[in-house]
Amino acid sequence: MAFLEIKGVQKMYRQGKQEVHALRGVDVEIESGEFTAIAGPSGSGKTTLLNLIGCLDTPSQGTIRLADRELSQRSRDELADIRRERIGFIFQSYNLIPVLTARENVEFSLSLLSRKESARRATEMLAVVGLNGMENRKPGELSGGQQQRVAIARALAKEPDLVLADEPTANLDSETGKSVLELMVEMNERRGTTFIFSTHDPMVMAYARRLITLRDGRVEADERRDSRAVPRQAGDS
Amino acid sequence: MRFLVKLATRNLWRNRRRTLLTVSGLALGIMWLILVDSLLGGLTGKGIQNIVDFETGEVQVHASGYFSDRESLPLDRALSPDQVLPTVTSVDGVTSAAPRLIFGARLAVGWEEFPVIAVAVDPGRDPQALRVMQHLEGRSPSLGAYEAVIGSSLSELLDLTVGDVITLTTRTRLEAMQALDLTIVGLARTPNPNVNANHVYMPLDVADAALAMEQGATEFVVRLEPGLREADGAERIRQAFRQAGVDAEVLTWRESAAEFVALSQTSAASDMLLVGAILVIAIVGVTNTVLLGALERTKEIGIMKAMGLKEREIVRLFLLEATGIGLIATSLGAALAAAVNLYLVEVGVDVSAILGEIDFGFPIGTTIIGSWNGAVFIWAAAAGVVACWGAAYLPARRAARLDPATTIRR
Repeated sequence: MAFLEIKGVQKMYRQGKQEVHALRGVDVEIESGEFTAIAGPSGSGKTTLLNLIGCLDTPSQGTIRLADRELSQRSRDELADIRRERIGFIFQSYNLIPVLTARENVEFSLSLLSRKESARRATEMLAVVGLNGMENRKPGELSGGQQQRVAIARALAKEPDLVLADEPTANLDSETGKSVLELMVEMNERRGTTFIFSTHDPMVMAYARRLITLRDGRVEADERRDSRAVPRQAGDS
Repeated sequence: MRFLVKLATRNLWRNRRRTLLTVSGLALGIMWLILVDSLLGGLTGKGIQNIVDFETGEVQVHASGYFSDRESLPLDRALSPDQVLPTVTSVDGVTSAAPRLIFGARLAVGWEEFPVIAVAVDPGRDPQALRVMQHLEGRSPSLGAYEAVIGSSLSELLDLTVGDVITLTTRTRLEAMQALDLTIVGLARTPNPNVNANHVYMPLDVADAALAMEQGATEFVVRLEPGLREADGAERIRQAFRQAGVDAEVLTWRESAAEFVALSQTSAASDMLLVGAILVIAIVGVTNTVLLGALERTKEIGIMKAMGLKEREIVRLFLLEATGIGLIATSLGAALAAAVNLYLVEVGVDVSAILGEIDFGFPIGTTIIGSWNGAVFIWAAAAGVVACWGAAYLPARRAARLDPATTIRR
């Protein structure tokens, strides 16, 4: 059985008196450890699909199974537990908590799991993403790229099964975006963490081993690649 | 939980000006609550002291049936001091007792007459029971002499002074008209404005003869040992009278000054309503702060929910912030109240220039003083924090129910 099974998923929103069909029946299976990009024009349903996979929303129809757990009919508390334990999020605009330092932002996600030595673990994760010495800086004192690295550390520190990244490079310059992607590739390869991105960015698509294209709420294309389209930098694994 | 406390603490200082304004409002409300309680306690305490020390003693003894008819100051319900005093003073816990003959009279000066309360006292015993004679300008009247002490306010009103002669007109026990010419030998300037305003004191033996009382007193004021509750003292005296076969009614000062007790309770209730209104305004400020905080941080709430925080944990976070506001405000309010109250208790506020002698049911003289009530500090602090929780709960719940998928995209 696939790590993530999405079957016949539809999502409808009501905007005033109008019903908006964000997803019109999506069927996708994703295996554990995949590095997948979901592409498509604005309004194609990428973020909606990511929200459904991330238990931030529930489908109007269809089922989603994550690691053998059916998500569609769960209570809000149960969905919160799944997010807490199994899913890491990386957002386009970093979304760090501004009153916490870099280390505390990472430590916060660990504290929710009552992990021991969460401060030490947070410091280690910040070192892994190249933020040695910046642990005590608040988000306002970090560049966009550094903030996104903190967000990656926050998402990965708890060793989730799945990382969902919504346009993770959209607010970064191409060099910083590339280094952030390299970091995620490294995490994917080293830890076997499953990554799913939503993106418009051709560079992100190039890094993906699988590219699912959505259009008008449906899967238009699903392309698997044997290797990444972007050559890894020297010294990378 | 530790992390939520840390986050709540940091959030409190995110918008310092707003937090400080909210804290200040609530702190002032708490301070006002404590000070109003202090002043009420002071007014009541001093009022009680002045009633007990200058009018009633802790316990009063009358002939049966006197109390229900006390407004008319009846002379036909009297007891003999020889019958009462030996019994009362033999009771364990009684320190002193003094007979008084109280009657209504009109004080005539020239063509003018003023209604007064005439109090005939035993100059030997009365100072042991009550303190009027310790607050004299001049001296107390002597037994057998046609002398009087009048209240200082009354003397000022009628432009009388020591050495002047006044005429009291009244009715005797047998309802005959009687006029007494008395020389003023002292002015009573006491902390009890009732005494100063309308009391005239004269020797008991002179009044007894003039009113045909045949050695009868209408009231016996009794003082008890410190620490002995007046109700317990009164009960002991009742038992002593039963054993001695004396038909008398024994009242505590609370019973004989029931109007004052009722007034102080009504006044306390209305003042606390006022304080309640002030606190409500302060609590609206807390609600406003939490609500604005929630509105400003909708995206952050979405992020925290994405990280796996449950709705009840988000509510807890906002309640922790409200607790912080409550703790800071109550600490500040209590500290300010303690500082102001120290002055009120030790020095008091002299209001004579504004109000003269305060005479709105609280016989407290010219100075308003505070009182210490440790319980109200604890009660106010607890009420402040609990009120903050109440004020924060609904906006916190509203924030916790925000849809993370929507808020994150804002």
